[in-house]
Amino acid sequence: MTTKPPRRVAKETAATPAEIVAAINALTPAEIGRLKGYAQTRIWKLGPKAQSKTADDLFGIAIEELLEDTRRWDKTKVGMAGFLWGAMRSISSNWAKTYKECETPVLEADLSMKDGEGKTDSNLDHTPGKHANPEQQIIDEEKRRHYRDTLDQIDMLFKADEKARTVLEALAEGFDPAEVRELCDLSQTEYNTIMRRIRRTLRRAGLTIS
Amino acid sequence: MPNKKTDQEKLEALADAVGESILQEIDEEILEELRLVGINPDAEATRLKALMLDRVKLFQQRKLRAAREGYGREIAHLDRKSYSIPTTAPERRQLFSFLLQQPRYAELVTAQYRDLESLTDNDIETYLEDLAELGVLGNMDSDQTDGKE
Repeated sequence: MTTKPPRRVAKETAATPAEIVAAINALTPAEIGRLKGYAQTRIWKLGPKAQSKTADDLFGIAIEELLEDTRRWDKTKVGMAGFLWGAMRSISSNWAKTYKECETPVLEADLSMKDGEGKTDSNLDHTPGKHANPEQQIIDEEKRRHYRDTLDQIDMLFKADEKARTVLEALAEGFDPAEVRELCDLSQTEYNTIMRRIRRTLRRAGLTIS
Repeated sequence: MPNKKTDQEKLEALADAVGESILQEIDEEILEELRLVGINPDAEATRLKALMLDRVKLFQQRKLRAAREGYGREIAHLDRKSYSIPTTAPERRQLFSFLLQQPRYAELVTAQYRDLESLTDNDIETYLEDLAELGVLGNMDSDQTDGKE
């Protein structure tokens, strides 16, 4: 049996609060802009699982966990921007893993609607009795609708941009950038240009901004 | 060839690809993308730095408060401690003299304190308090700490 070496950064190489402050102050506008963009895509990826958390929260929590020693930053290996990037990715992945759908409150008002005669009718009454939780079914349905609507919206945004649409379709199907370039016969520069166009369009539409 | 994806998986794959492309992007393009959505990169950097530095400040304040509370608890604890030290000066002097005669306690007392005659009542009281803090007096019979041999 093999034992994995501990991934934790040794206490002596971990940064002190003074070093953390200095490193934050040294971040450039471009580094912060890049991290903010990345944080926004993490929140976008979470969708309903984000539960009103924002990209700003990712910055704050990453620093808090570093100070509380929940997370350590080995300043000899990566810069503060590299640490924040890794922490944001890990924190948002944990949010997705620990998201408990049953904890999401659903008001009875959200589940009810009036029929043509003005009589209040609860959606709960129409859910099949066989399934465990009718509230959960409604939440699942809302989530499905959210993902479908967002994909439809993206389709609409790139309706006139065939190259971008092809790249998006390939990425959505799980191909990595190198495979997408090969599949679409694109050079690295062409791929980068298309990705920029995609990002700008998504941002303008408010899709990736939390 | 990847497997058929659900809408959620497709969207997550897209978000990952967009996120990765941001990380690979050159500085000028990052700054330009911010400007295009009406964000001043310098102002945004200042705002997010302040947000992070506020967290550092809050953490340090919390630590300081915890340390102060711990210190306050320790002081209150010391104040509450009652020692079995005799109430009169002659009894205290007698107890101290008794302690000096016990080899296991005598070694706790520095040479200057062994000259009983030169010690003031206050010196003796302070020293007994120190010994009580060390738990020495608690190990003795109550009649001994009463200053009675």
